[in-house]
Amino acid sequence: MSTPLGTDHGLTLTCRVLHPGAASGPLTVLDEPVSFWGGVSADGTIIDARHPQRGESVTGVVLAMEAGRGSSSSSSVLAEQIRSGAAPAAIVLAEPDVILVLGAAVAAEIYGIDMPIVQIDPADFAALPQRGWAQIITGDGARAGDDHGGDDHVGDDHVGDDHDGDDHDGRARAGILHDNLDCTANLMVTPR
Amino acid sequence: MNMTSVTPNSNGYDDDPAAIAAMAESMRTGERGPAAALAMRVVAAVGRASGATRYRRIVSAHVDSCLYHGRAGLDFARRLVDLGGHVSVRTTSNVGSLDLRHPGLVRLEGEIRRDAKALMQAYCDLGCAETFTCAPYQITHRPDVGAHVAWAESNAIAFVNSVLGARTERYGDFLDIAAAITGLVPDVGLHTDTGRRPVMVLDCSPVPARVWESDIAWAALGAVVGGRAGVRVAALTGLPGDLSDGGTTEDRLKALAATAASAGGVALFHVVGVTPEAPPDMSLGGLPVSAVTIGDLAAARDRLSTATGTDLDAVSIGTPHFSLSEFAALARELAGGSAFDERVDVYVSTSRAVLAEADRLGYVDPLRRAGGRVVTDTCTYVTPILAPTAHTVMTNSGKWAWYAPGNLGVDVALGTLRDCVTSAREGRIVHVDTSWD
Repeated sequence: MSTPLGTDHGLTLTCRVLHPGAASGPLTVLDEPVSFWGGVSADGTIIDARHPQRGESVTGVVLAMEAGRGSSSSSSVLAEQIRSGAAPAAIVLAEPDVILVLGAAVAAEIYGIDMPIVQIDPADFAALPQRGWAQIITGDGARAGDDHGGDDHVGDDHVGDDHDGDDHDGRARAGILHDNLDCTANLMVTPR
Repeated sequence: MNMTSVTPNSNGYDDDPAAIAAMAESMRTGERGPAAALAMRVVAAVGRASGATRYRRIVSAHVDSCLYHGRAGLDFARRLVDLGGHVSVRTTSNVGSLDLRHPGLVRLEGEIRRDAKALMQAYCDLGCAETFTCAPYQITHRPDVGAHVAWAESNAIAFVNSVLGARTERYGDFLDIAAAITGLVPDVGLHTDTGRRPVMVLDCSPVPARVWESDIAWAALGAVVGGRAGVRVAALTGLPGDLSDGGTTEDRLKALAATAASAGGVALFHVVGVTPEAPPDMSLGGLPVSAVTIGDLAAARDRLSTATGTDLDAVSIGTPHFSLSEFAALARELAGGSAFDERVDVYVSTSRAVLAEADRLGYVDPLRRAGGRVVTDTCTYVTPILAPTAHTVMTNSGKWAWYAPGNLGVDVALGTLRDCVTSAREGRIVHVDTSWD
């Protein structure tokens, strides 16, 4: 669903927006997913005793992990970290995770802070450099086009469709989008 | 704006798609008030992320967000209250961080205690029933087979899907109350026929029948199912059970569901010939089959125990909350016996509703006379109740055994209800159950 573009400065990946926003920060790729409830402390430190990156901080980084993990209470923990400033700058996933999306959506509603969550292709995820600088850019320059490939729609029920075509801020629309996969952003990664 | 005018229809699970879409649209545009609009945005965020193309109308909700995890949760609940939010379907509340009926039991102080209490109050203000239980399916809240619901709390999700045959996805914080207010959920996963079909078979027939008489065999089976199924739907064959036997089978499936949800993220399983979506002639052709043996169960049981010696500081039972039939069994175990050793604190966690009924039937007095204590509204593994000096705790709950070492820093010994009672009396860990030998 995305095309990595090799440039002198690194990679530009097209990603699907799960929660909108713009952010940049050091890239941290987790070796395995972590549960925010029970696995990350209130100050943003990985505390899961079985996690290989235990002791590292997620605060302010663009946190890449393959998928979400663990308790549904992670929504509350993430929202609280976004409020307190201990959260990552952004989260990059290879599989959608509604628990994390809920935490970001509620923090945006209550505190007006958007911590972007994006989904990239698993092959792109595997190719991410272990360390680097990452930036997420949403907006006109990031539109991938009408890529409906692989989308599995059930029937033609458009629930609250809002095809105004311009507004890619997910919070502005309450309906579930028929074309929900073409709301995209760019993830730019500079290895170091 | 109060939403109580929106009532579920008699068969809320096959509602007209156009009517549902209109309902969602009216909430999105704010016609049904600002709280419904906010709740609709939260439901829609999940719908987008999960790729849904339509909503389902729900007949009930069970809300887990009343357990305190920090200020953001309280701010969100208060925003909904301030905007005039109210649930539109029957909604029960999960455990909170405090026992409001026995205020001295939980050792939370200051700001956290105040905010934890305010959070429980906020959910009552939004119209959630003051059930404060992780087992709302006992006595109070039982949706019909096939009904769409939005339940949070992993054991309740697995139970309502598997044992009651109602349909919920794995809901959690924020989405639970948003679904309760809007009455809508994205139509994905376990709401769909396809999502509920088993993809694997676990054949339990090699296990000798006598083993299933032991309550912890069901917890051990839960750990096996969680390990093998992960988040997938499994069909279990070769198990005894009859859901109209007065509670015994339900209690066993409760233990199985809770442990499988903890150990693997299981949200639905089928017990062929027992649970409502698994008739004896259920078609399982072509599915991969793996056998469950007594050796598998014993290994799972042993992994759930971390205690090595015989020292014992406390016994905790009732995770998920103790049922009426479990209180009856406990009263039978306690009848005519001695009191608990005074060095061992004994806790039984349950709901207000079950406690009231058990008290009426005289099931609780034997526990109190023996020196045991009843916890309601919360649970011993999510909030500080056990003495800080407690190092080793016995339980018959696979879920408690799974979480307590991490949450509380204690060692745990898994044993049957009879083992728990005997150990509490003797002041040390003893295993008297021999049905596995």
